[in-house]
Order: sequence, then C-alpha cells, then structure tokens
Amino acid sequence: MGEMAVEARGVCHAYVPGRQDLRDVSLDVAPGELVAIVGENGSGKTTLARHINALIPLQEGEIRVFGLDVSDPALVWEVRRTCGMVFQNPENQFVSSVVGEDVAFGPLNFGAAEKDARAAAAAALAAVGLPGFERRDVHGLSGGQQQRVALAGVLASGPRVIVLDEATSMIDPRGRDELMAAVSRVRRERGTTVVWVTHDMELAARADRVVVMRAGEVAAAGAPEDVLADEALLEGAGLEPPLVVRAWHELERAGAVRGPAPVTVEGLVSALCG
Amino acid sequence: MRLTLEGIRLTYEGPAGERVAALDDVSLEVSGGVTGLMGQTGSGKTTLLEVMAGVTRPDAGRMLVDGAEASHGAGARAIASSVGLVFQIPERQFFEPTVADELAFGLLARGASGKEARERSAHALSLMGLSLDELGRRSPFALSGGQQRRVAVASVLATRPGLLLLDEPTAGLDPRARDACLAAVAAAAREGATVVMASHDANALASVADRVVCLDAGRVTLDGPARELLGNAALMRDHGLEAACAARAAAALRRSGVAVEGNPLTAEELARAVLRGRGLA
Repeated sequence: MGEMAVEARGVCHAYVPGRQDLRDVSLDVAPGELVAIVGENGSGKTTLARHINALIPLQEGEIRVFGLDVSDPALVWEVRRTCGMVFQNPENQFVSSVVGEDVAFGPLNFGAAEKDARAAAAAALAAVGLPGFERRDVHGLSGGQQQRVALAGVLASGPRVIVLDEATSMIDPRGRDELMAAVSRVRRERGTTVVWVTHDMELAARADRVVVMRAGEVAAAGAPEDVLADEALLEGAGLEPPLVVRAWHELERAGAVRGPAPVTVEGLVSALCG
Repeated sequence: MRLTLEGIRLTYEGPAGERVAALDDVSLEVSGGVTGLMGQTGSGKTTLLEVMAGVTRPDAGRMLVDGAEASHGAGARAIASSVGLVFQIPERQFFEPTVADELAFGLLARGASGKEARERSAHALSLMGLSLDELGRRSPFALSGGQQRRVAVASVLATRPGLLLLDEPTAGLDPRARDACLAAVAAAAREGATVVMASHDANALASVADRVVCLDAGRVTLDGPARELLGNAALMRDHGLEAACAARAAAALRRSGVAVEGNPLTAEELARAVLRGRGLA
C-alpha cells in the first residue's frame, strides 16, 4: 500500500484528565479520497479533525499527514501547509475584509513572494467558482460565497488535504450546494484529499467512505451504502439515517421492495425504476 | 398573542451609501401555531424577527399586538413582557458564570422567586433533553456546542413567552439535539405561544410548522400551509429554496415515471405515497 494522506494510529485524547474524548482512534484516508466523519455532538469528530491539522497537541498515538508526523514541533507549519482546515462559521476565519487579501494571507504567511501569492489566490478563487472576486468585501457576500472564500484561503497555500469541520451548517441550502460543487471541482482538478466532518447525511451519502464516531471511538467505517443503510448502527450513535434509507425500509416492511437500501435520491430512483 | 404587521419597510445603508431594502412592504399576521420563515441568507428573515420582537423599529408601516399599536403604550408593554427571541448562535450571549444563573436571569428579572426560577429552569432544560442537576453548576462557556444551544433556547423557553421568535435554532445541532429542540418548540406552540421560526432546514420546518412564509429581498414571496409549500419541490426551487427532502425525492421519482401520490414530507409519508402510487396502500 502506498503512502496514506492521513494515517492515525491509536489516538487518545482527554481535554480534562480522566475524560476520554478520543479513545484509540485509528483511521486511514487514501490520497484523493473524500471521507465523511459523522457523529453526534461530543462524539469526538471535531477533536479528531483538529488533530489532523495539528491544532490540538497529540497526547497519545500517532498521526501522519502524507508521512509528516503532526506531533513533531519542527513540522507543524509543514503539516498545516499540507492540510488546511475550513471551519463552521466563515466569519470566524477571515483575517481581512477584502477577499483577495484574505485569500493571499495564507501563502504570504508561509513565506511566498507577493507575485506568487497573488497568483495562487487568483487560481484558488477561480477553483471555487469566484474568479475576479479579489476586491470584494467579504461581509457583502452570501454565506455560501463566504465559505467558498474560506475554502479558497485554504487552497491558496496548496494543501494536499482539506478538512472541513461542519462547514455547511451555518449556510443556506444554495450555499451548501455551491460549496459541495466547489469541493468536487477542487478534487477533480487538484486531486485534493477531503475529510468532511458533518451532520448532513445527504452530504455523507456522497462521500467515498463514511466514518461514524461514537463516544470518542470509531464505531464504523465503510462505503456509504453499507454504513448509512444500517439504521441500528446510526441510531446507536445518535444519528438519523438519510431519509431515503428510512423510506426504503418502510417499503421493505410493506413487502414492496427488497435488497440493499439506496442512500441517495438518485439511488432510490434507479432502485424503484430498475 | 396576535401580531399584525402592515406595510413594514426598513432600509439599511449599503456600502456606497445607497439605501438597501431589508424589508419591503411586509404585511403579515401571526396568531398561534408555528410559522416557518424561509429565505436565502440576506433575504430579511433576521430583520423581520427583530422587528417582530420590537428591538428594531421599521422606517414605515405599523405593527399591532392583539390589535393595539406595538410602538408605544399597552402594545409596547405587551411585546416587551411576552416576547422571547432566540438569536442566531444564541450561545454567544451567555454572560453568567453558571448554567443555573444563566437560566434564572430572565425569570428573576421578570419577578419570579428563586424557587420558581429554579423549577421553571429545570423544566425548560428537561424539554431540551438536559438536566439542571447535572449542568446547573457548570459554566455555560464550558459546554459542548449542542449543549450551549439547548441551554440558550431553554433560557428563553423558561420565561414562557407568548410570542416565541427563533432564528435558525437547529443550525449545527446533531439529530438528537435537533429533535429535542423541535419538540420543545412544538410544545410551546401547543401551550398557546405564537411561534415564528426562521430556518433553512425544510425538514425541520416540515416537522413543526403549520404555515410557511418565504422572503426574498425583503418581500414576502410565498405564504401558505407548510405542506403545500415544503411538499412542492418545483415551487420551492423556483423561489431559490429547498423543499423537504421527501418532496424532492418524490419529485425525482415522478420525473422518472414512478407514480407518487400526494405531497409527502417525511420518510414514512414518502413510503406510503409510493405504495399508494403502486396501488398497494
């Protein structure tokens, strides 16, 4: 097996002595993969995500991002350049109210030359579907545009991994669709690995793999069709299966359908039309 | 409580000094039940809630509370004493050192005794699936995000507002916390409160709202029974909004030639609608 984008082994974390916010978490994310991490509030998904970006000091275990040890103080900037993070509230992560300045901040801060930083910012804005937005005021943008500016700010530093921490929960459905489209485009054009922490099961259903966190542990990991169709597993983790799965199981109980539950609307359509 | 808005207008100053309409001739009456307020970011939902709460004065138009002018006298007093406004990200407004103090603050300010404040706080927290015995002595700032939101909503519910206004109360909550929050909102309406809830979450509104009002650029573009709006994927899409997930699935199935009866809003309703379409129910 080649080098993993993210490799976590036996990670434990306690915010307060005696608590177990992460318990022996191991996780591999392959280069180019889109992995959704789901779990109820307090299940440890954000804690895990912040470890990948070296935002939380590692207490126990090992995490490597494209081979870089996140616990090595000498590598912390290299880790953060390799793995960028988009947070829940776009307004909390802007450093400048001018879009172009905000997006160029990352590369400039990492020591890029002015010209290169501007070029990286322009390319990143184009990649998220906001070309030419450099002189716009971030506060005059919609929530979806703001979150795409935040994503561009991460992209401008050329990360190989992007972690999105509930990045759609503060924006409207149109904004969510815009952000998802921007992430798809970035993956297609740059082959970027994406770790997406979310409560949104419709979004998780579109991932390559879904990781379910429960009480600080990985309760399950697998293809969306396997994990999201397992109502008992999800309910045990305080989660609700996608509506399509619940509807399918109702139809199954009525004897109208058989076979594995589809997890997306498209899957339901082809299952019922097939 | 009956709240009547007539021709409400409010403008902000734009970046170039121009006037931007936040609310443009909004006329609306709410009286009991749960009214969902939908619209894209910037459509005026939050401003409308602020006007309804009496914290933002419109430039033009009038607002009546049970028929009395809300801008002064008895109407203004009625609003001030019975409105409960849950702001977006309400946990940012915490200021007391403990959860118990945070919850008691609004009650004590309204003249409740210490004992009464404690009982009502405990009840409101339990509606949100939390326990005052467990959390009462903790700092509200040290709670998880989901707990903070529920404490913030409970602190408003504890005052038993006659007019309950909520701005995206379920954003960022996990399913369990979201269901508890929605159940508490529904319970407040059953107990007689008039509830207005702004939300992007069509599925959340589908579970509690009787009626849905949609805003676009400060104007009311749709106003009707929740099922007729949230269950109509094409109508909502035409207004740049999202219908309930079940309605979107039903629309996709119909486009592919699968017969689906009615306007389903939930998974169970979608399944029944498909069964009826096949003549099986």
